[in-house]
Amino acid sequence: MIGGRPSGPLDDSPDGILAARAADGDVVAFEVLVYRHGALMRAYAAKVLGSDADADDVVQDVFFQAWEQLDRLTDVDAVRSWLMRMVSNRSIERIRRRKDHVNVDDWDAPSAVHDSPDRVVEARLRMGALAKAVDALPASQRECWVLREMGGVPYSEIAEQLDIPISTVRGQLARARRTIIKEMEAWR
Amino acid sequence: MTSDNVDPTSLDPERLLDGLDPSDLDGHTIEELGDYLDSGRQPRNASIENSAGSRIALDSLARLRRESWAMLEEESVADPDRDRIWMQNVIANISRESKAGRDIPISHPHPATTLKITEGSVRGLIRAAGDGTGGAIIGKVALDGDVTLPREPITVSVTASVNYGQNLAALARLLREVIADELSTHTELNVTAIDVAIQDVHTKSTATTKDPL
Amino acid sequence: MNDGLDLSRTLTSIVAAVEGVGDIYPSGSFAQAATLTVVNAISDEQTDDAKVAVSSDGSGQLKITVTIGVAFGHSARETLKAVSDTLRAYLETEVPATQAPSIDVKVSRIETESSIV
Repeated sequence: MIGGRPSGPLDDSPDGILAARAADGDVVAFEVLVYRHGALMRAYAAKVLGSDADADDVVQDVFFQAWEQLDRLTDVDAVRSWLMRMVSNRSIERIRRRKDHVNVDDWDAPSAVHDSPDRVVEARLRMGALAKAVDALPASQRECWVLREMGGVPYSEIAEQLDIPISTVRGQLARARRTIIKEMEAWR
Repeated sequence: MTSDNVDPTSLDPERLLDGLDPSDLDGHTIEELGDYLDSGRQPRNASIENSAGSRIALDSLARLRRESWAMLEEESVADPDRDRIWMQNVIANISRESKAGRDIPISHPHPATTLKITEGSVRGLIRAAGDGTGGAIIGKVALDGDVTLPREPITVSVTASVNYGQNLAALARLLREVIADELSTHTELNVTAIDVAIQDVHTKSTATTKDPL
Repeated sequence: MNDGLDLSRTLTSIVAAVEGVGDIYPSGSFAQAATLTVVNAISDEQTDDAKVAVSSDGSGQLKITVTIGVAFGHSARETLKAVSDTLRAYLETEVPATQAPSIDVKVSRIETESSIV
């Protein structure tokens, strides 16, 4: 949950109610949805993109889009997964624009230092180890892995959207998985 | 990690998840297992479930996914200063105009005077009227029929939810009265029906204004 | 010429004083007034104190457009009528024209007991 917001009667309402009200123009209900899901969406986008600033942009755009398109959402109870899918789509678009996957030779290059603030749990804890392992992956491996394993984006879609062969996506995923498992096993 | 003398049946998760040797997974691939996980392991795939290698790989994959989500949730720690600015930006920049809806006419004798109420403001009115009545929270509000034509028969459909198990049918009727009252105070709509459907959030039981008392 | 802007300011304060009027919002009328000439280019920018849109066609008919919120406890219907009648009364005495001004008033928000300002 995002902090800093005064509480109100809609705070405990289920997503479906909030989505229905927001689709009808209730800004307060929309605000509750933003606070409720925004932090997770930003954390996910940051994992895919390797940058908090980019993640903020992406998630902001998603919310603008969500405001306009909420009335088209047929399953109002599935708001979170709908929002997360939009984050996946916009993150992929951003990756395309970056073109950091054009040169195949760069694919295994170590991840550039990114601007994520030091909010990750201490390395000793398993979650911190996982976060570190993911953050340290080369960009293309991290992107493919986070989109597939956390975003649930199908292989074919990652391949098509990033304009790379499916076999390449598989390869990146396999390498990422191997690295992560190895890092995690070390903490057992 | 592997050597020439490794037992081919050794079921080391890292090796398995490499997915490079399909015989470890009894002919299945890592992608297949990932998709199987996605589908919640339904419908049950006997071949996968009976393969020890696949089961181990599935467990590792599933644990990794759970941990990934837990990791994200850990990282979703509130940062009030950063959040507030970002939030305000979102709220300030959404277009409220896009939810204004249709223009609902109000009559006036002078030919050069045009008076209108937006559909969005009427929806807001109904939400506010319903909220709090008997502890209800209004969900969806729809005005069915051409509200832009004077005297056109209009049906109002409203959904609502409650947290406490009151008499749902009675509450639906009370909401209908409250809503009817507001509409006649502020508009000239020819409302021929107000359908209220109410649900108890916990028990999931429902009632509508169409139910017999 | 600042006539358009001055008139807009005057009309805005008149509208604000009508019983039942809450906020006054910028009007979307300029997009709609495609066939009318704006009285004064400066009026294109609605300032904080000049929110009533004023335009006129070649023959001198004024078109007035205003968007309001209705204050809690007042009827939207009645408030709309009060605003348009007050505006018309003012214009007929203070701004004579060849034709009766066209007056468009729209409610885009109705305040309720729980409205957040």
